[in-house]
Amino acid sequence: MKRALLVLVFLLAGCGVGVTETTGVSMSAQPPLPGTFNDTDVMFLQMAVPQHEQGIEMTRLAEKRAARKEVRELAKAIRVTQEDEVRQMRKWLTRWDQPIAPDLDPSAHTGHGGMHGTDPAILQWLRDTPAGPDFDTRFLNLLTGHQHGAVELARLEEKGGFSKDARALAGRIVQSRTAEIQQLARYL
Amino acid sequence: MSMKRKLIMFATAAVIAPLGLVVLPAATASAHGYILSPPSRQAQCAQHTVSCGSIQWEPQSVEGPKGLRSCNGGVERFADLTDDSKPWKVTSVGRTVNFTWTFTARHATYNFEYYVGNTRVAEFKLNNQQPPPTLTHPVNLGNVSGRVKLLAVWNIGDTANAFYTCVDLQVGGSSPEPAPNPDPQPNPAPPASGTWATGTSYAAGAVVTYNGTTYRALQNHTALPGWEPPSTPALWQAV
Repeated sequence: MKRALLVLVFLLAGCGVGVTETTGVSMSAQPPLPGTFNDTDVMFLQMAVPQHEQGIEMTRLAEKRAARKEVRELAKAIRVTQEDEVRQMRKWLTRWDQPIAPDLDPSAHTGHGGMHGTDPAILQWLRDTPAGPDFDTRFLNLLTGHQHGAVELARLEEKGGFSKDARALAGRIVQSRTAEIQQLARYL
Repeated sequence: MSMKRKLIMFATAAVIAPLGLVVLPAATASAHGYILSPPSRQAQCAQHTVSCGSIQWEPQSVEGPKGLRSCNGGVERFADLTDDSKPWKVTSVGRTVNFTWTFTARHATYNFEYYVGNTRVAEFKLNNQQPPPTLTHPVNLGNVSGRVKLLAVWNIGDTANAFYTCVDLQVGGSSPEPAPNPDPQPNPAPPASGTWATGTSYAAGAVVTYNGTTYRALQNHTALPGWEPPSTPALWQAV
């Protein structure tokens, strides 16, 4: 049983593994095996982890430097929820025996709209911005763009993912990031 | 392992495997940018100031061929943006307006253009440089006055495409009609029971119930959809 599962996992792993053979028998009513996943799930998690980590760094900076208390509080709430999500996502990748790091071959992701992360130069720009009202404006603007990236990524998972857990997480990401974007705009 | 189980597994693999393949070629538009302030039409959709279709998820993706003069860049699924009868919030401005863009990808840029009707009121050239992380253009609207729908176009340097974003403005003098109330929609009642509610500001130590479980807030925050207590252990601890 275990062996067969491993084979199944192997079949599903990796970006663009060409398993096209089907039996021709309609099995659409078959419930999924618990814990199974597809390429999209793996890619979603592998891309979401660094995407989240960038957001964590941005919010960490804001907790220290934002002039307004409400901005610092929102930043902290976003950071701790994203840290939870990262822990969860790493756990799933480990359980599925998949590397945490995404496939860095850019062509592996061309069909998926790129990496959805924020340009490292932007992060550096925020790091170099000292505390003050200017920081608040930059942070709010940059995190808005960044969280849009998270929504895009999560919607790919909602459309093409297979794992019930990962899809549920994607649904929560779409909801919470959308609400965060509204909140960020209110402070802008 | 029984034959039957093996068969089920094989069949499941056969069902799953093509699923994985089906999504691969489904290229989606990647991230880009739009005007965040004053709030453009897509910003208002994203912020749920106005109720919209799929544009609310991807306000940064209004991409079409260069040369259009439409708020939706010719993208059918973003038709909301061309609907002038929607209750767009109109921003009162003076003669000079600062337009601030937010980007999710900073494409090499030919220029940014600002139009009122068919008149180009401003152009900012970037000579195929990447725009900086955030960008504000001060635009002098000249003789324009009253209620206007301004169209901003971000022309990409290395593709045939541009990004489109419309901003509703009341220029000079009288204040615009008061914006209609935002749609009373944002929070569809959660199917869950309990006292936890989105939009509520909770202080650390606050106690709520959610689906029969009691939780204590671990830190100050405003509850958002997607931050339900069972899925945010960093915010809520079951007690």
